[in-house]
Amino acid sequence: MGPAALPVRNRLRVLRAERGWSQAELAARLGVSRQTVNAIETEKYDPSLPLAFRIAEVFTGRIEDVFTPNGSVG
Amino acid sequence: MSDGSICKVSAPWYVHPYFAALLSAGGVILSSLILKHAQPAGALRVAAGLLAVPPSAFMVWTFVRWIRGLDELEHRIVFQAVSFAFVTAIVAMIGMEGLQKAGVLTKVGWESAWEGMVFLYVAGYAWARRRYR
Repeated sequence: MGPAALPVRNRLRVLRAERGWSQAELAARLGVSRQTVNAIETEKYDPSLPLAFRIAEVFTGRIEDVFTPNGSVG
Repeated sequence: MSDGSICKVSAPWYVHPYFAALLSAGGVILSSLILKHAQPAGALRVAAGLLAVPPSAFMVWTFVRWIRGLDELEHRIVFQAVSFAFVTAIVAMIGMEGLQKAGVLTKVGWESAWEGMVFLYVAGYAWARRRYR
């Protein structure tokens, strides 16, 4: 069996709130459903790498500013 | 872009999985009625028996088209629902076959298997959607 994947934490809700966007607005910018944004924010779903890069692009451009492995000091 | 509706790709109203499913069910019912009441013979009987196939193929096409318009989480949800329906139907059929061999069930109609799979898909879809809410 391979090594267990690290759970990923994210700052999506914080970054979205800083910009005053609703989940629906962010979903429209990303081209996904509102449910997908909600599932990522609540960390029930880890996005694919292309979507993670798109999220980073919408906010800061740096993926590590949005996503960090759980337990990482950042 | 995904807007939360079932069909994300712009298309005429009839290119829709729900409408196609109704059309398919209509084909099955019509086929049964013709075979039972009109009782055609020869080539007409074959045609009546296969009446539900074209609308069912249309349903598959609209379903695939709908899936292509979904985002990645929705893909996962549909995949989990289809997987749930598939494996649960296998388990149910094995159980029903065993009961038939044991003499508990006298007749198992395989023709109702697809109805069971549709029901299991809907149940699986609701369960998977709830997981990511």
